[in-house]
Amino acid sequence: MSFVVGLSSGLQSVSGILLKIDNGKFEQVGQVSEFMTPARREDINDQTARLQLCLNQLLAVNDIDVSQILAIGVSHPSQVDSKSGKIIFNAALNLRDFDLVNAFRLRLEHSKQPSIPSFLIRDVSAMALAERELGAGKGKDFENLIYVYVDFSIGSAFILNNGLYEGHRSVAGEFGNLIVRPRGEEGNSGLRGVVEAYSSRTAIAREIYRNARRLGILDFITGIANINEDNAAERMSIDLLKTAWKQEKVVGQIFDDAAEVLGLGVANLIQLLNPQAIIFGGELIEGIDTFRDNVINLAENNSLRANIEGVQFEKASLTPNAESFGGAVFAGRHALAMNAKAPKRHSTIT
Amino acid sequence: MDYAIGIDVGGSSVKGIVLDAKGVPHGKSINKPTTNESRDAHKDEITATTLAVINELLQHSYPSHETLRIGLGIAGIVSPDGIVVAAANSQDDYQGTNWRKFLLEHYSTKLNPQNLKIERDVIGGTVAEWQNHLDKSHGVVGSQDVLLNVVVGTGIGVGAVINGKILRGADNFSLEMGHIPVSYDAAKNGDPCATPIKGCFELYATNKAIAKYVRDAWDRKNEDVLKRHFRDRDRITKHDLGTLWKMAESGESAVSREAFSWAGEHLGLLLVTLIHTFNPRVMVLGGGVVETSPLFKDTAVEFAKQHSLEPCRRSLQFYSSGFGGMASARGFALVALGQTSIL
Repeated sequence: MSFVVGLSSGLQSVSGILLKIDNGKFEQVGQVSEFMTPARREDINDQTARLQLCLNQLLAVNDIDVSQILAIGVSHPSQVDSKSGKIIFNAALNLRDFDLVNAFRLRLEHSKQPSIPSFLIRDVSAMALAERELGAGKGKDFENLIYVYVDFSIGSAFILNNGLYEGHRSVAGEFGNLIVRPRGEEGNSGLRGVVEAYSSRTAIAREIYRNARRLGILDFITGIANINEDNAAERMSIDLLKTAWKQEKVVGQIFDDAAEVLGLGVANLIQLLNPQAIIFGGELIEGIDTFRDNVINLAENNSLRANIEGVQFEKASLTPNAESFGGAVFAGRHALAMNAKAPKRHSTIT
Repeated sequence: MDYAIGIDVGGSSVKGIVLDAKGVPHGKSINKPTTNESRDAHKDEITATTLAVINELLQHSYPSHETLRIGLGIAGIVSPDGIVVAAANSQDDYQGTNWRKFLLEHYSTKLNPQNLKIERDVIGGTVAEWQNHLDKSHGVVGSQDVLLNVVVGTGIGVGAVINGKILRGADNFSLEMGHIPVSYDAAKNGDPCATPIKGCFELYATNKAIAKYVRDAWDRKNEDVLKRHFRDRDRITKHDLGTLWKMAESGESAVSREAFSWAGEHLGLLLVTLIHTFNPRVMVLGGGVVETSPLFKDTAVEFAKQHSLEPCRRSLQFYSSGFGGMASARGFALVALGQTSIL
């Protein structure tokens, strides 16, 4: 019996999952292991140490010997090149063109474990794979699928022609950076008028905070310590955002405006890719049903009939562990392909 | 040796070519307008022009003793069985035209059903461009690279090759870029095009968009050169693109130059969407507007470079179409010959 490990290399926490492979199908074994300690800024040694701790805990808790592990998949936020196993750029860890898989291998070298193929995948791509195989798309055999992530940031990943599509340098799916209002608000990337600048949790919370200050309607944020324009999104929970929507008309208007921009962006993706399904993931769009319904409604109204007919809209079901699941699926698929004598493009953990 | 006719049925014209099995043209290619009037063409005009092009190729270029193969590209949305589902740049009566039935009936004694291939027009051009860039002489793309083919004429067509295959989407309707709004504001307040969607790219980055820009500036700019040539603003149509470009290039008409530049920026915005979505290796730009005006193309490429994320455009290369207006017809001849692996 073979197993694959998925590790989510997040900045706030690292988590891992063990999957059993049986006839090309994946099945979860045991519970998700998680380390909640935030990564030390600009410290990659700390990051690989957290991954190692998570891997070892996962093996110990599930009483699995490392020799039974077919492959390890590490999912990582920001831009990664899954073909080379490198992080292209990560501002928080101050990394550019960094070989994370190799760094992880070096850290584990002393453990004298057997060689295990390992792979790196972008977090949103991992979420898409996970939802398709084990989550909202399980058993539906979607050959053309769009996964749209909406929370503090906005991103997307595509299953096209029955395979994960990542682009020439693995940076396809920059949905948050589609320009919908030229010369408009600046997003995190520095580009103006992009979807993320209007419809992310960061943008919505900032707008709510600004309006609350301007209109003097501060009841719903009274009691939140040290809240300001820059940290508003981190300080406003989904429950608080829902409460604010019920209490204040202006908050509803802000969500409506955000839904309009996001709905138009989703319509553009539908026109571009003609998918069978769109899966929405991320705490914001999963947590606030009315917001998600508005986005779907606006996407439908802005798409050609021929393109929108038959598109299924689904809510993700594996959040917040989809990255780990997807990392494991990605690694498992690659390992199986390698065993079938596909060209090798991987690093190994010794 | 096998031969095939490739036909590109556009809104404004029908183009045809004969290729042999090595992809070498046989005889002259043909380009016939569907109508001499400024309006969109009717079904009868499009079908009659298509037959005229095929017949001329059969008479002068196609070896009479060889098996007849035809690859036909249709502008618009086409069902898998060759029926026009939607076509924005023709009269309403064209919708529903069953090309497969029509051609098989017309050439019933010569054409075997399995030798007739019908697809959306942009697929033919994408096949031709992919083959061109894959060829050893070019060597630009590898079999797993990502190529986008952007064609701008009366409408906007985009084809994509990803993981070695043409991207079709779930229902063969992918990459309807011409009918995406250019912006949030245009989607809310812009003009409708032939579809219910407002503010589409087709209204901002095509030959008809450029003509409309010049018409709209007729009174505001009051340019003598335009008034002398056209006399009436309503006489400026998409068919006058070449004239407008000559006036722009020579410096006689600032309005015309403005129009090409304005439309080029909007095409650039469309390219940014494609770059951020697909992270392609190669982007080929073709079609009547691109071929007519270097300013249009250069403005679009420059805009795209300035407004896209660096990692997404790193190692991206822009090319002009290798076959000009004949790319699509050429590609469909290759399709009919079975000389492509990407379908």
